[in-house]
Amino acid sequence: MREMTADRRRMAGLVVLGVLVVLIATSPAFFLTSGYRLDVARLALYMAILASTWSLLAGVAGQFSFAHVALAGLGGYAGAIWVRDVSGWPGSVYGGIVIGTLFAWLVGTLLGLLLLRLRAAYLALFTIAFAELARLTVVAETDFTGGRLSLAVQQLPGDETAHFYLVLVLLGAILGWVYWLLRSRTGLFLRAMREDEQAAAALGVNVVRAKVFVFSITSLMIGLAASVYTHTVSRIAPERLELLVMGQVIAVAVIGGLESPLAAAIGALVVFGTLENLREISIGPGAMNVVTVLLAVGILVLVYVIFRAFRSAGAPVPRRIGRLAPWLVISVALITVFLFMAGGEDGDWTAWMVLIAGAVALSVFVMRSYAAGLPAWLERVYPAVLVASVALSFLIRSIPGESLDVELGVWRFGVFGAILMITLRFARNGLIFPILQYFSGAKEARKETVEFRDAGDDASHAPQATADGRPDGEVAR
Amino acid sequence: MSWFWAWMLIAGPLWAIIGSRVVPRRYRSLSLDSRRTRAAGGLMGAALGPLGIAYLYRSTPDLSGRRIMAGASILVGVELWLLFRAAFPDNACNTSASYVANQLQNGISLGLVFAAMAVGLTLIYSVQSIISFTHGQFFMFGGVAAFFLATEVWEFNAVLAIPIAGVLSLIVGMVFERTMLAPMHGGGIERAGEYAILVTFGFGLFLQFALVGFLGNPTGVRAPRYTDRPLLGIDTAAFDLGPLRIRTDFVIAGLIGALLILLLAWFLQRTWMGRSFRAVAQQRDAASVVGINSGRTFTLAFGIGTMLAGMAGAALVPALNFPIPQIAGQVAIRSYIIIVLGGLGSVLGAGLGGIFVGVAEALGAGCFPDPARASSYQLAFPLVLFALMLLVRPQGFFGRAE
Repeated sequence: MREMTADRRRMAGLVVLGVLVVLIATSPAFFLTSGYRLDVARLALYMAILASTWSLLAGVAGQFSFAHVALAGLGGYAGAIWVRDVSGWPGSVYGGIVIGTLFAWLVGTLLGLLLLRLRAAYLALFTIAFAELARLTVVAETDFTGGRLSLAVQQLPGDETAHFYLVLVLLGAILGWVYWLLRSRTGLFLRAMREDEQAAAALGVNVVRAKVFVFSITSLMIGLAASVYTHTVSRIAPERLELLVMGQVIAVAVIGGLESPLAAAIGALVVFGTLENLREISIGPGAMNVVTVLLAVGILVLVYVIFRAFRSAGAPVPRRIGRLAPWLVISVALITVFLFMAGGEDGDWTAWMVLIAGAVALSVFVMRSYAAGLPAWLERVYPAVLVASVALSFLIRSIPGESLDVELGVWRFGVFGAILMITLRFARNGLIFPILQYFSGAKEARKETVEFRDAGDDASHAPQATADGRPDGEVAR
Repeated sequence: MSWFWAWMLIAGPLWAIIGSRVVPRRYRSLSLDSRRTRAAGGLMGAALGPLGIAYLYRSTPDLSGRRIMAGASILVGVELWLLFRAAFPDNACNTSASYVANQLQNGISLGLVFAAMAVGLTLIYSVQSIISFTHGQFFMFGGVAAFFLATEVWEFNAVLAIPIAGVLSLIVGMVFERTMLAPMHGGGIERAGEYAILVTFGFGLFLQFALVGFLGNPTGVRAPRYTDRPLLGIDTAAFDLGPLRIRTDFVIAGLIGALLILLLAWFLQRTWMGRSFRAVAQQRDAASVVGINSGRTFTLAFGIGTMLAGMAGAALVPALNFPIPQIAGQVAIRSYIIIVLGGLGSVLGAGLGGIFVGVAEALGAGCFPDPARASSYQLAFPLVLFALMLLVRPQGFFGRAE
C-alpha cells in the first residue's frame, strides 16, 4: 500500500472517530443493556472528563496538581448538601448543580492564587496536602456531610439511559471547550508556560494570570462535571476525594497521552472498559474477552516484529532483537508458569507475583520494539493487525477444551501503576496520542518545527548549550 | 459572650495582616533594611495587636537579630494557650498534666519513626533533586515484609525482622531506580521533573495494590511485639514511670527510629561513601571529575532512602497489630510534611521536623474539643502547619533560600 496523503489520512481519522462516537452513542441499545453496565459506563465517562481536564492542567500548562479529584469531590458535595438543606426552587437539583459548580470554581481559583509561588515538586506536595485536608474534613464533619456513611443524593429526572447520555454530552461539550481554549491565544500561552516559565514571561506572557486562569477554568469544568455526575448517582461518599482516584486519573491520562485532552479521554474509556472486563477473566480455549483479543494482538505483533527482523537484514538476528530476546523469553516463561499455577489454590499470591512479573516483562518487550521501530511500519499493518487479531481471538475461542477462570480482584488495580510506569518510560506521549497524531498529521508538523528550531540553534548559540552546570543543586548537610 | 470569642478569633489574623502591610512600608519609607519586616510586623500584630505595630512603627528597631521575632512567636503561642484554657476549662489537656505528658511522649515516639522515614526521603532529594512519591509505599513494604517474616516464615524476633525488611526494600528501591529513574540522569528524558513525579507515583500505585493483594485480610493474626521475646530484658507491655505511662513497644519503635537517624548522620559524615553522596549532592560534574561514579551514587542513595523507609515501617509494625497498605498515602504525607518543615535536604531538620509533626498530631488530636472528630482530624493539624510553611517559608526551618 502506498503512503497516504495528509488530507486522506485526516479524512480517515475523522471517519474512524465518527464511527467510534456513533458506537458509543448507540451502545445503550445493544451493549449497555443492564443498569450495572450503564453505571460503569457513566463512571468511565466521568473519569474521562477528569482525565482530559487534568491533561489540560498538567500536560498542557505543566501544573502538576494532585488536588483535581478533591476539587471535583468538593463540588459534588457542595451541590448535594445544597439540595438537601435548601427548600423551594433554589434548592432543586439544578440549583445544586449551579452551586456545586460555583463552589468548585471558587475553591479552585483560590487554590490557584495560593499556588502562584510554588513550582513543580512543591506544587505537587501542596496540592496533595490540600486534597488530604479536604478529604479529612469531609470525613470528620459527619453532621454536615454524612461522613464515612456517605450522603444520599437527589437524582436528576430521567432514567439511567438518559443520565448516560447526559454525561456523554457533557464529556463532548467539555472536550469542545478545552479544544476551543487550546486553539486560542491563551492555549498558546499555557503551552509556552509549560516549556519555560521565565522565557514565556520574558516574551510577554502574563504568567501569573495564565496560571490562575488554568486552575480556575479547570476547576470550573470539573465542578460542573462532578455536580452533574453526583446527581445521577444515588450516594456520594468521601472515597470520591481519595488520592487513589487521583492516581487512576493520572494513570489513564498518561496511558492515553498526557499532552492531548482527547487522547486522555479515550485512554480513560479504554482503560476502564478493559478493567471492567478483567474483573474475572477466562484464559485459553473456549474463552472470548478482552484478554483473548489482547493476547491475539500481542502474538501477531511479536510474530511480525520477529519476522521483519529476520527478513530485513538478511543477516543473523539483528542486535535489536538480540537485546530484546531475553525480555521475551522471561515473559513467556513467567506467564506459562502462571497458567500452570493459577489452576491450583484460589488467590495464591505467588501466582499473581509471577503473572505481574511476566506482564511487566512482556510490556517492556512490546514497548521497546514499539519505540524501536513501530511507527515506520505501523502505517501499513496496523488496521490489518486489528482485524486479524479479532479473527484470531475467534479462532482461539473455537478450540475445543476448557478455559481457565481466574478472579483478579484487587490485583487488577496494580496494573494501573505498572502500565503507567512503563508507558512513561518507553512511550512518553502515551499509547493513544501517537495514533491521533498519525491521523491528524500533527506529528509531521511538529517534526518540521523542531527541525526548523534545531537548524536555527546550530547557527546561533549551540556552543553555550552545555556551559552551565546543574541547574538546581540542594546541598546536604 | 459569643461575640467576645468571635473577636478573639478574628483579632489575631486581622492585626497580623495589618502589621504585615504597614510595617514594611514604614521601613521602606525611612530607607531602612526592609528584610523580615513583613514577618515581624505580622507576628507583632498577632501577639500584641495595635501596640506591637505601633512599637515597630515608632522606634523601627533593627530586625537582623532574631530576638523580636522569637519573642513575638513565643508570645503568640502563650496567648493561644491561655485562650484555649479559658475557652475549654474542662478539657483534659487543661486539667491533667500527666495526660499532656503522655501525649507528648507518644507523639515523640511516633514522630521519631516517621522522622527516620523522612530522612530517607531527604537523602533522595538532596542527591537526586527529586521527591519520591512512592515513599509511603516503601514504608508499607517494609511493614508488610516484617509482618510476613514474623508471622508466617520463621516466627522470629521482631527486632531481627527489621534489617531483613530493610535489605528487601533496598533491593526493590535499587531495581526501581536502575530501571526507571537512571535514564533520567543520562539526559534521555524530556522534562525530567515531570517524569520523576509521575513515574514514582505510578510505582507507588503498583506497589500499594500489590501489597494489598499480597497481604489479603490479616484479621485475627497480629504481629509479635518487641516484648514477646524480650531482647532488652523488658517484657511488660506498659509500665508507669512517675506520671508517665510507658508503652514499651511504641517507645522501642521510637528509639529504633532515632538510632536509624543517627546511623545515617554517621554514614554521611564519617564514611567515604557518605562523603561521595554529599559531593554528588553539591556538584555532580565536579564529583565525576574526582572519580565518583554518579550513576552508582544515585542508585545507592535511592536504595538507602527506601531502605530507611522500609526499616521505619518494619519498626512500627510490632507496636501496631498489622500493617495497612491502604494508608500508605497518608503515611507518605507525614514524611512530606517533615521534610518541608525541616528544610529539604537537611538531615537534622528532618529529625526535628519528625518530632514536631508527632507532637502536633498527638496534642492536636488529644486536645481537640470534640473527641468524636479528633481522630479524623489527626493528620489535619500537621497539614495546616505544612501548608502555612510552604506558603510563608518554603525552604523550611533549616533549608537555605534559593
